[in-house]
Amino acid sequence: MSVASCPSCGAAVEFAIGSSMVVVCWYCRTLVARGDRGVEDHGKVAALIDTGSPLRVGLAGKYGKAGYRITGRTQLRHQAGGVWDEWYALFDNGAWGWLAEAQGRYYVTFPAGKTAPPLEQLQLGQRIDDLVVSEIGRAALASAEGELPWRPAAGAEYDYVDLTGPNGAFATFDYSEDAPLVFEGRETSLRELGVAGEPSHETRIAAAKIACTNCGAPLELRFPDLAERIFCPSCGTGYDVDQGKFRPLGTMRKTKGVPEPVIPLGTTGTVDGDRYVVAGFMQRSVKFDIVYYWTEYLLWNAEKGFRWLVHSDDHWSFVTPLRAGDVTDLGNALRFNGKQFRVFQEATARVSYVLGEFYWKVEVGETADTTDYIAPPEGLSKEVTTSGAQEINYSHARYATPDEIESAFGVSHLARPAGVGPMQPFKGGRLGVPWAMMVALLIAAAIALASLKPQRTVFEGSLDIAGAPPVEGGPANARIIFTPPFELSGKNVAIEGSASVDNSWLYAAGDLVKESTGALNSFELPIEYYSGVEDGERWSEGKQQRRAYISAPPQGTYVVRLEVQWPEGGTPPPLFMRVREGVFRWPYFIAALLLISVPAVFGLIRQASFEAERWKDSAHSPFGQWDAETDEEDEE
Amino acid sequence: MIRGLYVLFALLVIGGYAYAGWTGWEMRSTMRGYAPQGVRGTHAGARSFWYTGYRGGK
Repeated sequence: MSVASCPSCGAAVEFAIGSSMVVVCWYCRTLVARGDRGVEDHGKVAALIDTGSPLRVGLAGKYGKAGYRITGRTQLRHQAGGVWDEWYALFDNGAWGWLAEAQGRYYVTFPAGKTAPPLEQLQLGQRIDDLVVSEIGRAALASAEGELPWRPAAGAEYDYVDLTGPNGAFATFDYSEDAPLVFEGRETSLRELGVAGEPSHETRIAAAKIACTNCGAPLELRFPDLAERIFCPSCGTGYDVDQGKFRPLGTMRKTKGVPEPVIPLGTTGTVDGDRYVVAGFMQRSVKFDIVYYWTEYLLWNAEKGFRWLVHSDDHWSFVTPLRAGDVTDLGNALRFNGKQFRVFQEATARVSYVLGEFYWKVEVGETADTTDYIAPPEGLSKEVTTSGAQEINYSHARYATPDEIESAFGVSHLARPAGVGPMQPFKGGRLGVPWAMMVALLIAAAIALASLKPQRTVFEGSLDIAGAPPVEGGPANARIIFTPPFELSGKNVAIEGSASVDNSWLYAAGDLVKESTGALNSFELPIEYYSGVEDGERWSEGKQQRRAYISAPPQGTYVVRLEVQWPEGGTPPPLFMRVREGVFRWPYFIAALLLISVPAVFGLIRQASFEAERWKDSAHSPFGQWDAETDEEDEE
Repeated sequence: MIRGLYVLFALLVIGGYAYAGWTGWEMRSTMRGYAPQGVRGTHAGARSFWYTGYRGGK
């Protein structure tokens, strides 16, 4: 430990840690640095901004197996206006770690001993190993306290690049030094930092409530520590918010057609088991051939942070921010959580109206390049901001019905959507999988039947019609003839007759007769075959073979009795007969297959129509190209 | 809901198919009756009429 006098005010400052480089004077807030010839004055920093952090200088914790103690912090101001804390932790082994805290999220990083690539070589979304460049920005040192392991300069600005990766991986490239530094770590939690007993977020700005200076309506901050801007819900007057202090910006002109929130600001509701308050409301728009508007509600929960409800064409979705590193960009698709999301639309979204409270300095006219991806009932949105800090933000959306929103927020009479929303699930039932299962079951049933009731030929032979004795009292061109007896075992029967008739016919009226009882099943085999040449074309009709099916007769001994007739004056050809039982009936199988396929095909047509409606406004429709250029030309 | 209804319908169809296959049921009914005694012993028609009307398809 060494004690020195502050070069600015003379107060005693203490370097309690051998490796610290700067101490902030507790009295005058001068950055006192160790130098070769004693201490140096690096300028004064402003008073600390109370961010309500549960961390504090002097706090001890344990990360993994290593104990640490927080020795100091810097407060850095983001280009968008917000302030975040970076805490410096000295670990038991003498190593330094950085605990960054922003919007309720915690990150722990350690020096990686590497040099970062030049800033100009980096761009948003760029993948470096497993990490994705998710923010490129410039931070200004706002304040500091305690002992620091580096030499900040009061008011100095530093370039930085944040990278995120899967499973909370996180890294920062720090361009405050000539050789840019790399810090690697991950997103963490108070529990992992061993300080879970501390309050998760202490709201220290309690009296953040005023009357609107323009209309007198009450303005109340829901998240006063994080609020950057609020717009009066009554008159639209905007205020910059700085630690509970309000600075009027002016009043938005309320024009015709400006929407009113259908869920009033201040309403609380429960979504997925968490209670949120509606803090802000904005209207955004994109311009294609027409200007297309939708509205968004900013929701706040002290534990979960910020969420959004998006209301577009009376469709709703619940939106959760994601880490860029958890999303894999595949070009025309994104992969998240094992699911692939197809690109749906790209546009530049513009804020056209704002009410209520926001955690950034939102303003009318603010734009962001957005790309929406869908995998109904979910969606992903990629927003790229290039003004100020360059950021790439991903969010996950889940489709919600008006009924769900009404139930969650206690509102009623929400309009029902008329068309199909981009993330709206098809409720007609996807029958592809059940159809395939049913077809498999049908095939299994057919195989089982063929195995358990195998086909058997019980009689096969040629019957000499011409050689049979004439029928007593009957015509000369008719005979009655019997097959030998055969056994049937109680399966269906197919009786087949064929004769080589040519431009002639042979008609057989038959009976399958059970010998013991005389019970019979009658059938007909009308064999006829005609052919010729007409106008140079060959033709034929009829068949030389006929078949009849009989429902399974009882088990027993049977004969087939045939009364055969042929053209007068002719000689009948031999009749070849075949009797089989247990015959596989393809027509029944095909009929069953058609019956179970028709609803599936009908469902498929309905689904295709639904999907075509879903994609009709997309530039990436699989149902045909939507031509924005043509639309724009038409507009000109 | 629709999936459930579809599966129920398909199971009925498959059940009907399996029943028909198992029992040997045929859709086209054949004329059933009893042949007179000694049907094998006579060459006279067992039918109530002698079919003389058929003359083929041409």
